[in-house]
Amino acid sequence: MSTAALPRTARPVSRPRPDRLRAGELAGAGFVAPFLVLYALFLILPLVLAVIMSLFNTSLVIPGLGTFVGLKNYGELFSDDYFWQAMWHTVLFTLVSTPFLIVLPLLFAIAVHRLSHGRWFFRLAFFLPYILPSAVIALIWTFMYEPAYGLLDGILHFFGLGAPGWLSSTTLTLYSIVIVTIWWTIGFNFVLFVAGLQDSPRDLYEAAELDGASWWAQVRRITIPMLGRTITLVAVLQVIASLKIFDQVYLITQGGGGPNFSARVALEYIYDYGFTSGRVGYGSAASLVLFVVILVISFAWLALVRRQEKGV
Amino acid sequence: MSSHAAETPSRPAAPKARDRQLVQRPDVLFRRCVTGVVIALALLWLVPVAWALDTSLKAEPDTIKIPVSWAIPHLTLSAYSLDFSATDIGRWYINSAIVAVIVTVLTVFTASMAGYALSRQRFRGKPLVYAAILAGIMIPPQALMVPLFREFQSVHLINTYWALILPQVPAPIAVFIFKKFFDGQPIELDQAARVDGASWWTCYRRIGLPLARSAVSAVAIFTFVWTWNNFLWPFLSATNQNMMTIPVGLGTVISGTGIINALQMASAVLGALPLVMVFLLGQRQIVEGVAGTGLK
Amino acid sequence: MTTEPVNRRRFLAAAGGAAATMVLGTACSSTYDVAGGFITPASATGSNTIVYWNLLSGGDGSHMQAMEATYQHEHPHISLNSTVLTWGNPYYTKLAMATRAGSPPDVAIMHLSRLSQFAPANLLTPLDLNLLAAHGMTPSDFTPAAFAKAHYNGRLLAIPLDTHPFVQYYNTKLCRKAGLLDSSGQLPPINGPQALLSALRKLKATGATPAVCDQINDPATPWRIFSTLYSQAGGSILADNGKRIVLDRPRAIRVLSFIDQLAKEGLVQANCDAAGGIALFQNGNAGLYWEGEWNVDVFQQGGLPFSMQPFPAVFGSGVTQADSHSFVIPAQPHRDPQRISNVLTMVRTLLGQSIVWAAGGHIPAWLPTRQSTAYAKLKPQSNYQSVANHVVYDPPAWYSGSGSNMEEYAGNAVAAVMLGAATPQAAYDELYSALRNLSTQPVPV
Repeated sequence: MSTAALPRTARPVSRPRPDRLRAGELAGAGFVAPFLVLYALFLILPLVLAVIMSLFNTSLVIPGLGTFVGLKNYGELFSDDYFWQAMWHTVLFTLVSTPFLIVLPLLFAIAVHRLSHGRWFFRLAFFLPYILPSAVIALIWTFMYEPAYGLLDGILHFFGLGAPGWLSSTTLTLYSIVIVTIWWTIGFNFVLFVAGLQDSPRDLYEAAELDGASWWAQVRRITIPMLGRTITLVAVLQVIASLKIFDQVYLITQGGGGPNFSARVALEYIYDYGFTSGRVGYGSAASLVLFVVILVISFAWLALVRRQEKGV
Repeated sequence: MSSHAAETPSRPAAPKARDRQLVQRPDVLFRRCVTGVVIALALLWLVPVAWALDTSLKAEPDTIKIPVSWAIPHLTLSAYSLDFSATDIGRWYINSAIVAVIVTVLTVFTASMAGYALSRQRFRGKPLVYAAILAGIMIPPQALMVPLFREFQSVHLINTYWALILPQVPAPIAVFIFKKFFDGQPIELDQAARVDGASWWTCYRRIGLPLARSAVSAVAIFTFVWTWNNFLWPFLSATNQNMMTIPVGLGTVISGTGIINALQMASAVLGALPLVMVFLLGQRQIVEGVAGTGLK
Repeated sequence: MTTEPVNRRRFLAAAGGAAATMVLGTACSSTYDVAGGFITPASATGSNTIVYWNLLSGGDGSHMQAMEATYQHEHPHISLNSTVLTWGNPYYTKLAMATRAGSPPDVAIMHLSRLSQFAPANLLTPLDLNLLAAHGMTPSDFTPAAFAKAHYNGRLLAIPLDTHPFVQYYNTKLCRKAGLLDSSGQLPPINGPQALLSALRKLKATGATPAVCDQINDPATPWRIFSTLYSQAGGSILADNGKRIVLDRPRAIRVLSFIDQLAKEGLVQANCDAAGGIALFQNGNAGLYWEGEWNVDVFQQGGLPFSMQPFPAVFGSGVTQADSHSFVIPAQPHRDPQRISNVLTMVRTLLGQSIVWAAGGHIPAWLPTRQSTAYAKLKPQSNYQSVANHVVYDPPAWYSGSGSNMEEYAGNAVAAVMLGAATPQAAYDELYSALRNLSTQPVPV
């Protein structure tokens, strides 16, 4: 707004500022335009569509919006136990997996970063799974979890232990998927922590060592505070990512959501109703509810972590 | 241990060092234990992949033997050859490559431009745009798959590369990374160039982008990996076999019945191969790339 | 030390470059029409191409491939592009989505129990009897039960390929050890709950796993067991195309209690998925194996001493849950008579090779084969062929059929009993509430 008020003619060469502002006005818009167009088309428009379709009984296989049903989809959704069960599984998955996915890579990174050689090996071991497609993960772990001739049951059998029914127990299946997820995604956070640690100044540790500070004291007094921002970032990204869980559950349970739906997560519920049952309108309503829940949790978590960070 | 002890006295602060070592002895032991544990864990982390590789080289009947064994009684590559003849894996590779490369290029291009503008330029609505991008990081695109599918269905683009590529391009986090990166770079170069009459486009292309090489490589690597591995959206938008990407195609291998463990593990190994090679080539760049961005 | 990683990287770079060149080379060659992917794939295929989708990912898949190869050999000018997709809901979801998106396959395999989901939404092309006759197929050529099931609202929408009932495989070595075989080395039909229990107990006494079936990841099997036993007891489940539930409580409880007893006595191996069931039976550890007949090849190739027979008539009649694979022509945006004719010729050619299909376990719907001596000699596949005349299909509803929501929800309730996680009473309640949930949802087709 302020640029428009500037007189166009008063533009001495020695003062490039107004020129930059005026040209920047156009150029700036042009620079963000490609991104904003895609953003509007594939993030905002679907959101608007979801709001509209959630008020209709839109079908996957019948063209058009269908008939207007008002808030009936939401009414059905809120009274469906399967929906709440699936939402709870998503939240439970996040609650259980997040601490592991923050603490384990942090410990690994701390343990690895002061080793003088062989760091490439740890990077390979911990980061390798992260770059594998979910379908590969599912293939490998379904076979690992196979009753009787799977590797895990084979090991348990070797120690004279019984098979727990990794993917057949209604209580265990979701946790089996948590284990897979920890194995799979730990590498990303590990690399972030390793990168964060590379910046911590060596002389600080040397000074601490001269003072006779123990390894643990160094970790607690230097490493953790140094990593504060990284930990915040990882915590936030991790929670957002975990709430979107779908791939590994869908693939490992072969679309069934585990025994008696004991591992069906929110996105899989949306897929089941929106696509398999062809109820696009109802699926849109479920999508919006999940969408709002993820936003609320993410912002609340961000606020909490930020406050924590400032408090330290 | 003994050689260490013999060396320490030759250091200048010899007496003090000896004192310290007395204090530190349990600490050294502790540190070694930690190292041992982390080595064991790293090996453990490799077990599933090794097991898949091992199984893929077995003959099918040997994959269901009890007790479970790492031994390969009859080494064979038949699972791999079956994979190439029985599935469209070649086609899936090509689709994944096309999609991942184009998405990566478009993402780096659009996000770096937007990030540059947000960092360097002033324009109307800039705070709004920045707020939208920050909020966008929180937006779960997966939760919008139902309407997004409908959107593409209505313009008859399901089963085309457009459907596979375009929705994966807008990544607010990438814009955020670029903005943070440019914020950390000195503005003087751009200002000087502007005074010399260079256009913003020239500044961005000649100064901004070359400076941002580490951010570009980090965003490019992760966009490539994420796109290559993305399952849900390609799974929905490629309803036709010849449009499937690697994760989607491999997903169809999972549900086969009969004794096909070696086939499945061979599929897993083949599906993993391209990115593993990219990773081995660019290990250091990945870590340095992450370190070089605002992502820490 | 320092040159070593460089060498490794150089090697990898070279290898990567070679691989990339290969990929690009194939991409540019005519094998893969990459440019077509930027337009719409539907327009990329000419009328001398047949795009054929199926979900035959089991042992039957290789038989279908053999049949396709014969067709391809006889019709070299047609290019048959066959695709195997994930079985069950994912397959049908994909088929419905592709059909509505305007790029369906020319012909697809569909379970007859699934017509009630596709037909109301007009996703299938009705078939004209005269057109069929012109391609060498008349109604009297097919198993009557299957052909009747190929209709929806009086219109023929599918051409049946087979009937595939739920059957009993038995390990002859273990059954002989348990004293269950007759003088001819066959397992006599097991009739009634006591007979089945006693046979299983005898097997258990030999130290073997008495029976296996899959209960996890695929609720279809528990559903098939329930549906078989419940239908034997004379019950039906749904009415009015799925709008009304007629599940009979005493009958259902009786069936679930029997399943519960099998689990409690350890007569059926718990915690098995499809692959685990096959592995246990193939390893020769299990006496009986309950599954569809499509795994016959696996055990024949594995050299297992086994045979097959109809599923035991536990409660009264010998009715068995079954379904049929059939060929359908999904609704095309532009109906091309030449393509439809090509498809019908292909279907007829495949039906003509029903003996190849039958070897994979399925009972051919094509009567000229089913009544042939060649089929009668095919053992153990023809042991259970009579079952095709008294089978029960899943009740028609938009949410029922092979691998459907109903099988999934109801099968989960039954599986809970098998896994010891629910009492028969609780399972009934869950079964009922799952059916009620499905039947009261607005019909999306």
